[in-house]
Amino acid sequence: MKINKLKHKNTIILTVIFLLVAIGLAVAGIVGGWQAIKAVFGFISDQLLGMKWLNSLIGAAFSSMLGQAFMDTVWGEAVQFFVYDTVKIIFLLCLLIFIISYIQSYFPPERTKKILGKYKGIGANAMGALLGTVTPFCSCSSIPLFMGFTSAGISSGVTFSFLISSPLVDLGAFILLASVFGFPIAIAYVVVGLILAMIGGTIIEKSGVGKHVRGFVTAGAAADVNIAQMTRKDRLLYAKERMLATLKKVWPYILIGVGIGAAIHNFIPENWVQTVLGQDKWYSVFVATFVGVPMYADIFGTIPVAEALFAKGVGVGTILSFMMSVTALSLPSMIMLSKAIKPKLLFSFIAIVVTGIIIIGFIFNAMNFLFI
Amino acid sequence: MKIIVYGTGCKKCKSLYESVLKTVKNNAINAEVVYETNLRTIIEKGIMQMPALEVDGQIKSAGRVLKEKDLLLLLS
Repeated sequence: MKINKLKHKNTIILTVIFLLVAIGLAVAGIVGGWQAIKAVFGFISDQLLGMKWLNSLIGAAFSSMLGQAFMDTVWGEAVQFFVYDTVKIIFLLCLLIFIISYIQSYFPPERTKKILGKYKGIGANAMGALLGTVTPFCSCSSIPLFMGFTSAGISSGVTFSFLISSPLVDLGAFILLASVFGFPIAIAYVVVGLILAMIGGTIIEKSGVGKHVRGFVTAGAAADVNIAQMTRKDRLLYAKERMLATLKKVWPYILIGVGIGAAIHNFIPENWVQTVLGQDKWYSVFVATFVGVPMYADIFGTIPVAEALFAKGVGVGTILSFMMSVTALSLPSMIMLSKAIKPKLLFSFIAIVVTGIIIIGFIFNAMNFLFI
Repeated sequence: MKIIVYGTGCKKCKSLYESVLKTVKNNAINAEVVYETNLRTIIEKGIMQMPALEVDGQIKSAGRVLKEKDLLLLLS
């Protein structure tokens, strides 16, 4: 009885919050029209996520310490940008990873396997892509995950929809993109990423290349395992673990990313950036993608580079292609995957993801006028 | 008590195994600790995240490297 009451209380609280937000937006819309609603979202992405007030605060602090004259020089601006962006990203990282890990504790791969096993056809691909975004997945688990899915009767196409969407689309990426580009682009990115995952998985299966999984993967039978249920305290602990572990793993990428972002922001002339990555250049998406593929960085490290490029007038599509190619494919995860799938399938997988990223780049560049 | 740590040899898996050994030793827990790396065995159990911790036949956690404090809670 007690547990039921608690569950009800949480549902009620969530519903109330949701209703308040919806009513708030409706009132804003009625009073101020579409502009007002845009303003609310703009506020969320600029001040809450983008923390522009923090930039002002840091600017003021440095001005009083080093003098406004210095702060007006490129070096002064670079220092301010460096401190502001590093603090902002680390704060966002901690907050986001914590919340997202908490949510993800409800979707362990074992549960995903059970859910996916029940779907068939294109619905299964969609489910696979969606679950890929909320299931915590480390590339070292590639083999057991593959084997578990396969023995549960999940087709290779659905498994690959999961594998494609997993690194590419997640709640963290969504929030981060909203902080840099605003919600419309962030939402579009998620939708397009999921579609890419679904189509990619379907192509892999329909073309038959999905069969090129290594023998031992399809051989064994796997049980449905029931992991002990996590209590709220367990989940909070898990969220904290993941937050600290991610911070520890990712902080060098953040510093490097912010450093590059600061360099682009303050030292590299706009026309240099435009020459290589300008929107009007047909090759910009290709450059962004092929530079990004061999690199790996955590998505938090790509944010400052994305912000700086955006400020220098690089197209949204080009920037998205860069971010996606950097985060979606990494050498360690390719190595782990190659242990479970044969080279032909691995290269098909990479080719599909890269092609999809390039197409997405062109689409978003063409739609630039819609977003800006 | 029988404790099995399932892992495939990556750093995280070894960390959990060492963490379990330390916890058992520091708290004088009467337990047999096994480190299982056979992939076939792991798969047949249905485990999908490494490392996984099994205590007396029940999978208590998967995909987490637990510290001594948290392990104590799980082992009690």
